[in-house]
Amino acid sequence: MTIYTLKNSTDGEVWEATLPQILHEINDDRIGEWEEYDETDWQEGLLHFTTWEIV
Amino acid sequence: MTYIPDHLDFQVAFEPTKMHDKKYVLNNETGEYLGIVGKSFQCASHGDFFRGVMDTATQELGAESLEDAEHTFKTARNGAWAMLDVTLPNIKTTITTDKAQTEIGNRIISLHGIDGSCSNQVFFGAIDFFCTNGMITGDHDKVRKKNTSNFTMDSFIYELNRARTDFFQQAAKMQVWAETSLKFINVKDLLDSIISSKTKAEKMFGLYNTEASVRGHNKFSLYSAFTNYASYADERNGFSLRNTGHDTQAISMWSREQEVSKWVSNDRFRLLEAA
Repeated sequence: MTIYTLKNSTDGEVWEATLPQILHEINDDRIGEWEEYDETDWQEGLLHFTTWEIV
Repeated sequence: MTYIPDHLDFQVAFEPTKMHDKKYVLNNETGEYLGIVGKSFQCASHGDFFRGVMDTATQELGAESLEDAEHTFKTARNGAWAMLDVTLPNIKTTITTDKAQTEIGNRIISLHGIDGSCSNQVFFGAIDFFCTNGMITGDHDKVRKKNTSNFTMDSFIYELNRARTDFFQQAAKMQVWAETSLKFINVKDLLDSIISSKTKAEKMFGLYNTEASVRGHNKFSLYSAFTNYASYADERNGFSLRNTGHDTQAISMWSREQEVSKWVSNDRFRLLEAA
């Protein structure tokens, strides 16, 4: 399984994560009208709804 | 540039909570706390999102299509959730039943949340100018879509380009509904089979009869009863909303539109023409 290296743009924290972990980070704790991001559009979800950036 | 109401055009701010992996979402203008999200959460402001939607729509559909457009903003959760409902009176057509005529116009609905309650979403639909009932077009399963906050994504532009064609295709389908008689259909039984709540089905039957008295006993009248339910919540249609005190009425009304989209996708409704 591919391991992605991500960096938090707010504090510089580095995180090595698999895609399921990244999807969990994007979709976790969402409520109401949230449409879950998946394997096809996770980079968009990461960009628009988290402070993580792929290194 | 689309006008965004002042109370929605605020920057989003975050503040740490006592939990290490959570943070507060705030309205940066008023300081009001709007929600709690994960520490890595971020999002565009409502203003940037809606301006992005409308700028792209203007670019793709042409300024003339959006001329005289009516913009209606609805909010919930103290401004954390917002919806922009745009009616395009310049893209319209007429539906004719054996008793009445009504004009329907194209509609773009976009949803945005800054508290993790809503991903960026855009829907296309129609509005009945006679009774101002709103309709979402498209199959229920296909109607829920995500889009980027800056709307550079190809799929959004592709959908915008299809919006006019889709609208007229949907209108043609509604015209078939208008010509589909329900005189020999037991509408009460049909509603009981589509709507899980008995009380709701009963009230919907009453609403259908009201619609049928104006538009005739046809499938378009039944659809109009559905869209009336999704557009109004008061004594007029018997479907008042409970005031929960949590500022969620706009979300509840939007949920009704999706509920209607689901009923319309039901085989029992879809196959009425064949009956």
